[in-house]
Amino acid sequence: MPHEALAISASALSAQRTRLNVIAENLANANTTKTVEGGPYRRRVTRLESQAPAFASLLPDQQNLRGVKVTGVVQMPETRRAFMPGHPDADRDGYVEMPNINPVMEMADMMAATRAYEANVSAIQAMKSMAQKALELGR
Amino acid sequence: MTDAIAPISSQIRPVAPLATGAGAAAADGPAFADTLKNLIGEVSKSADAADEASRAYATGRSTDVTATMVAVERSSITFALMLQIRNRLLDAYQEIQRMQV
Amino acid sequence: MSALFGGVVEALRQASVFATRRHEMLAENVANAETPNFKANDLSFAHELDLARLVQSTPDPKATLGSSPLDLRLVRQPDGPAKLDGNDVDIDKQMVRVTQNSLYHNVVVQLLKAQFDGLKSAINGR
Repeated sequence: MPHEALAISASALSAQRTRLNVIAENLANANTTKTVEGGPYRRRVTRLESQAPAFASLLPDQQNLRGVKVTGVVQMPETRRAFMPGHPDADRDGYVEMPNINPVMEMADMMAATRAYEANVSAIQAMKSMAQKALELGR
Repeated sequence: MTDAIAPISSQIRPVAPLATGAGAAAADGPAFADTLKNLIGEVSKSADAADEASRAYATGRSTDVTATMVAVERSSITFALMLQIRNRLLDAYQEIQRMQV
Repeated sequence: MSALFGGVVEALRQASVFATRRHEMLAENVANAETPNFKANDLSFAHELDLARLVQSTPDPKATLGSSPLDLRLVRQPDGPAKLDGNDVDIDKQMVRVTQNSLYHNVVVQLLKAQFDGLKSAINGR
């Protein structure tokens, strides 16, 4: 049974790590005006959904609890127009199409994802402590 | 744990009269038998207290970990003490049995 | 044999099962702390009957080791009003519960150990 808790917490570690990677990508490309597809970089957002962990169906006597999974990384279509007349990508009126990324918001998301990651690590450690304690019964 | 004490305590009782009969310790005889009886009572009481404390903690009635552990340790030590005394008495009894009259 | 492991041992065993199950529930909450529309859950003893069963001092002669499933009830335990995305998990409150629960579990196991040690000591006579 503790293995189910492990699978759930592990799924969250993986999901939050993916989320952190996406946020890092957003921050790195906050000012990218030209991408391979043409046009400015578009903000990416992870979609989180609760889902039974991958191998949960193999575990006996489970409670059908759900972990979390990244079901997709969505590109937000919005961009913003900034007035930067000297910019090489400026149009006739001096406006540049910039990614719609607010670094402050991305940082806040990053902190939330980090905190969630750390909390799940603590949950795994608590489970380990309980399992080790139970093993002491045999000594 | 209270059920486990019964077989031990039944072994203690036959030895107690021996303590009262021992010549050299005649003056201490009755006191010793009473001490044993009291000890058995203590063991039983502290075992019950430990069981009650464990139950209270398990059901959430008590959240005092220290008090629970103290009650359990007390019962364990009292029991170990009684066990030691019983073993010594048994050894002494057997030694006396071996004496050539 | 059930007379040997009655009453307190059974109560402690059920308590440890409860603690393990509850940890899984709390782990689910923590894992889904950022999932939209996820509602926090918790585990509790169903009602007084289970508590009374735990507290009774005479062991149930029909009970065998490892039987008598606990009637554990899933309860909705929101940490507060739902956030904008429908999620109502407060990750810090959940972590406090995880810590409390693991402490409770470890104490219960320690008490079980004391029970078993006492029985072993009585059996071995030393």
